[in-house]
Amino acid sequence: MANAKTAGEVTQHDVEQFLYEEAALLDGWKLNEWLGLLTEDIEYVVPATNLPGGSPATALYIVADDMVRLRSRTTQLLEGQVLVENPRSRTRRLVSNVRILGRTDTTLEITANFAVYRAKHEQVHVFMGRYDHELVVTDGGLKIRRRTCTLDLEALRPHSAMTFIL
Amino acid sequence: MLDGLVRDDVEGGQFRVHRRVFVDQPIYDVERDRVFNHSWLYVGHVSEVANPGAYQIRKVANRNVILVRGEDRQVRVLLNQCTHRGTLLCREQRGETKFFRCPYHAWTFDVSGKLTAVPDEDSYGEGWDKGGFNLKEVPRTENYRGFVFVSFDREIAPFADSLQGAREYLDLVCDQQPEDGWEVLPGTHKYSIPANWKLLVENFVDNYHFAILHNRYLQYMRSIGVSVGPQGARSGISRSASLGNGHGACEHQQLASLGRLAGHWGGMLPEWTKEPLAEIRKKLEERVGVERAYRIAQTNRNLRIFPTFYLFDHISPVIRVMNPVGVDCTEVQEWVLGPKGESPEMRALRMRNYNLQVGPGGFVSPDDIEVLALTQEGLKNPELEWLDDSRGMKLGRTLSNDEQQVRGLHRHWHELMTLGRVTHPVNV
Repeated sequence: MANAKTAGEVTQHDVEQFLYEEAALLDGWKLNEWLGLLTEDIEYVVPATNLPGGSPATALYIVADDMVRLRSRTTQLLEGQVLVENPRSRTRRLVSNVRILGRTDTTLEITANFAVYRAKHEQVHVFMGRYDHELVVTDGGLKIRRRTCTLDLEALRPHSAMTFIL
Repeated sequence: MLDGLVRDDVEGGQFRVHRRVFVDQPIYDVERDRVFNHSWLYVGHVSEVANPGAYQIRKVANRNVILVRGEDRQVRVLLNQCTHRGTLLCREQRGETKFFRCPYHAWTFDVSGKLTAVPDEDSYGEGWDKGGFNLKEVPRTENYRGFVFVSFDREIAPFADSLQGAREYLDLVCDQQPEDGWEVLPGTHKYSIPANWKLLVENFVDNYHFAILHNRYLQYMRSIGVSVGPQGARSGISRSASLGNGHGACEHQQLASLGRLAGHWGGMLPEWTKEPLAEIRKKLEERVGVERAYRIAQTNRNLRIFPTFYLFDHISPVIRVMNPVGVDCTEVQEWVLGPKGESPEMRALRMRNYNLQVGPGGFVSPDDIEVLALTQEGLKNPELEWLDDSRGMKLGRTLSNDEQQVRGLHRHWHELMTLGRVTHPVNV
């Protein structure tokens, strides 16, 4: 993003490029670099499959991480402590249908569709759904403050678990 | 075929189970009847169907059932199937309704299962036995302190009797709240594990693997400045128990010392919870006495009600239920229990902690899921025939990380499978 000062100056193209860069970092297991795209007050959440609209304060979530948990989660992944990700699974994510839904002076509400193909044990599972992010315009470019990944799956079957960053 | 699958050498202190128990399709086919048609199986909690007409659809022993509260406030478990041509009747996961209507020919049943409307009913002629077409109820349904269990065996012993030693542990969870005090909180986890259901049974009440397989959880705890107590013999209360009828439990304190919402403050919980937790503890002591309150509030426990129901009473109680769908695939579903009327701050804390630990995206369960998948894969090798569950047996020891509860599971399973031809000693 070329030195945009306000959210009003951020273009559709900027947002798309940002999401593509993020996807490339995640697929490339560059998780420390990915953490650099997040604000310190990040909320990374994956709602339960049967309750996509719930709040993490009152309902069950598959993932509800703040920065402390996310740093630990990425360290666990990078150090091979997560059994299913050691050896690492392969992911390839397709991000599309990007829309800017709202803006303030410093923030953008954006949504996009995702399909993450995940290969492990010589099987492929698809995790598909919708991103709803709050992006913040900072001196260092766009950052993510809220990252909601709502799966369209009715159950994690046969996926079993959610171990990589969606 | 079935009589020699378990080697139970009490004198030699050795307990072994043959790998075929986990991989053989013919054994699985026999289990479907001898185990699942003759046990008590969990369906749901009464708080999930609080109002008349409220329902949840569930799978129990591969049957489709509806847990529903009638207009008479009675909780029933009906087979989710139209009595006309057998079509699956209700397709919504949950809701509230006045009736269930079949999509095929619009036969309509009220929420107690009574057939109320049939299009062009006159075509069945005079004296037609309409009452004979009410929805079928599961042969036995019992509600134990809010937990609804069913059995497809009409002659099975009453649920409370069949619990044997498990009743003590279930009551330790129920007693944390006054009657009707628990409710199932919104949201559920549904996932599957590519492993035989008995591998899950062994794992869910096994404390031996915890510090090893789940080291990343303990490391996370240390990273946020919480120190985890010692395991096994050095950890205060530490026991595993074989409770009869295949039920089992383990109790331990090394994580309980980090805090329990049942009434014990520890380093995992924020400072502001000290006061409300002391208040909860005081009420608990008034209700059940100081000694019992200590056990309830300062001990973690895993309970198995054979074959499919698990209660993880850790920082907050979690229900986990399994439904085997093949010899090497098992569906799992989880819910969290919370007290009715809990403050929003405590509720948020309860959810926050649950989301971290149990569940398919937490820092614990994914490693269980994967290790069970790896075990199922390993068991494809026919050369390693016998698997071992002898830990603690020779010593007569039953610490939380010993394997007595695993032996109790396989002994009961073996007796069911051989129709009692092979019996085993208990509590060894």
